[in-house]
Amino acid sequence: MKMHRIQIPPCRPYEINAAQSWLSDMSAVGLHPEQDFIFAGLAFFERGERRRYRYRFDIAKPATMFDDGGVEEEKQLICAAAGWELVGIWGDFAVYRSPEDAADIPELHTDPALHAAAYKKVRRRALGSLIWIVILAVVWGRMMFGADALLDAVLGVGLGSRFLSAVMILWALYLGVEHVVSLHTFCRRLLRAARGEPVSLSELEEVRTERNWHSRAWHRRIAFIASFLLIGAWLLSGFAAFLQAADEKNTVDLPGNEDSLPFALMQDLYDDSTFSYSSMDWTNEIRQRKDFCIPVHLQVLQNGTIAYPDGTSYSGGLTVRYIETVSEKFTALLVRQYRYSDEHDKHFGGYRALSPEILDSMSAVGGDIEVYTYTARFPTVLIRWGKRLLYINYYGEAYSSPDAVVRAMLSALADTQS
Amino acid sequence: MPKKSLGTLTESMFYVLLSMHRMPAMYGTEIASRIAVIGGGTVEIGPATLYTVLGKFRDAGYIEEVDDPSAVGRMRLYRLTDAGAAACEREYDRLRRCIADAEAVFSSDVRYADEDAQNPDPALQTV
Repeated sequence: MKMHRIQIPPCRPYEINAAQSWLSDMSAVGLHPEQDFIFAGLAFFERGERRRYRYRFDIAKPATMFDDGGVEEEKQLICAAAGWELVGIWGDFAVYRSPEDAADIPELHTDPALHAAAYKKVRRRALGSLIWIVILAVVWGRMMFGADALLDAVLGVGLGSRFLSAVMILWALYLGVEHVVSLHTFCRRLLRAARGEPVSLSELEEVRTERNWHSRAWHRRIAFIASFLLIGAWLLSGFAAFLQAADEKNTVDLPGNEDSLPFALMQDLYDDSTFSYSSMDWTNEIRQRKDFCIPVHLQVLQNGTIAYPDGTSYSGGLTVRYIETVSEKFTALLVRQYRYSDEHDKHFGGYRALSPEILDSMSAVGGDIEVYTYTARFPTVLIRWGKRLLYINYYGEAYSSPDAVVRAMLSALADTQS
Repeated sequence: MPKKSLGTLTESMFYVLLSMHRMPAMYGTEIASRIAVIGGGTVEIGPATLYTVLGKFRDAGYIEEVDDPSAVGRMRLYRLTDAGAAACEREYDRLRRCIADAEAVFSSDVRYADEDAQNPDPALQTV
């Protein structure tokens, strides 16, 4: 029975000197790469007789929509006839080997100029990939570091998922740069050899260090495990956000809700009115979610009719987002980002001054309170009280006024504060 | 007519053309063997290099693929074209001129004025 062994490669395929000497050393201890030995970033070996092989990398044909890529059959036949066995494909490269003691087998590449020209193509491809990563990073960077990036993450996929995405982009950037630099260094050496330029002692030292794949093996292996965990965590965080949104337990019917809410609803705006819910499918419910530094995050979409004793009635709606974070600074930052976002809305109509009555009630309750009222897409009230934030939109303005909304909300916040 | 110029040929390229010169159509493996014979064991061409050269020559129109009903798998049969033969002869002429220049330098005492300027020792200067 064949014994198999799986290893995390201690180098990346474009670190050509290191990769070649790693495979040679593995064969020397009786671990020979299996056919197509790289799968999901892991290397598969089978145990056999200890043999010394020299491994060489050649450029593989890239896969396209109409072609699986790899190595052309004619090339394989020519190489096999010369004594070079194709072991498999690793990244951009086809890996060949031949017995180290067979002196009659020529090197796989004997013309540095042509060899360098082939590597230039791979370097160009690597550079193309890097440019795409940079474009993605710039677009992502605008989202990550834009003026309302934090708010966008809180309201969207969640902070964890956004943070992990940023780490992944940075990691991809690092790998892209390393890929291009490694290939560039290799090409430069080949071109120098092709021109017959002497190799400097420092270059010889560089190659010797690269061949010593042991020196960076642990870094590479830890990086592999870290990137594997990172991708897993990113997928999980996205999936968790999806599950949280889809979980019916996180959506409560508003008319049937008996728990007290830390904010006012339409029926709380006027004492002498009666309220009846409308029957719109997507409204009149409480949605709740959590994030790692937002322990309470509620969203209410209410729609209904307010009837006054004089017989008049008004239909309208109210959406309230209540966010309680772990720090006052974080909440203040979210308020700033809400304001920034709305100020840049084309419907933004400017701030309204708060009435003296509201200013009095704010100073009466004391504490660290900010209140803003303005019209953006809808009439809006934004309140921060310590770590708590309320973002309120209401429509059907005829039934209400900013002052009534602010008064009711401050009162509800004061009640839950106590 | 060559589809794209290859500029100065490298040694490997020249030997591939040379090995195919005045020969019937050959497989890649036969080209490699013939280079070993022509080079008297001092010139060898790696299989990956050979395949790269064949690809470049095919694109440049220096060689052409010949139908081979007996071919096994995707081993192709190649023949030198007139453009390839001309390129081989051009390179041969260039190398001959190089050799002639080298012979002229090695076989004469001619020194150049700027060399004298750098050599203040009169004993070393050209008479």
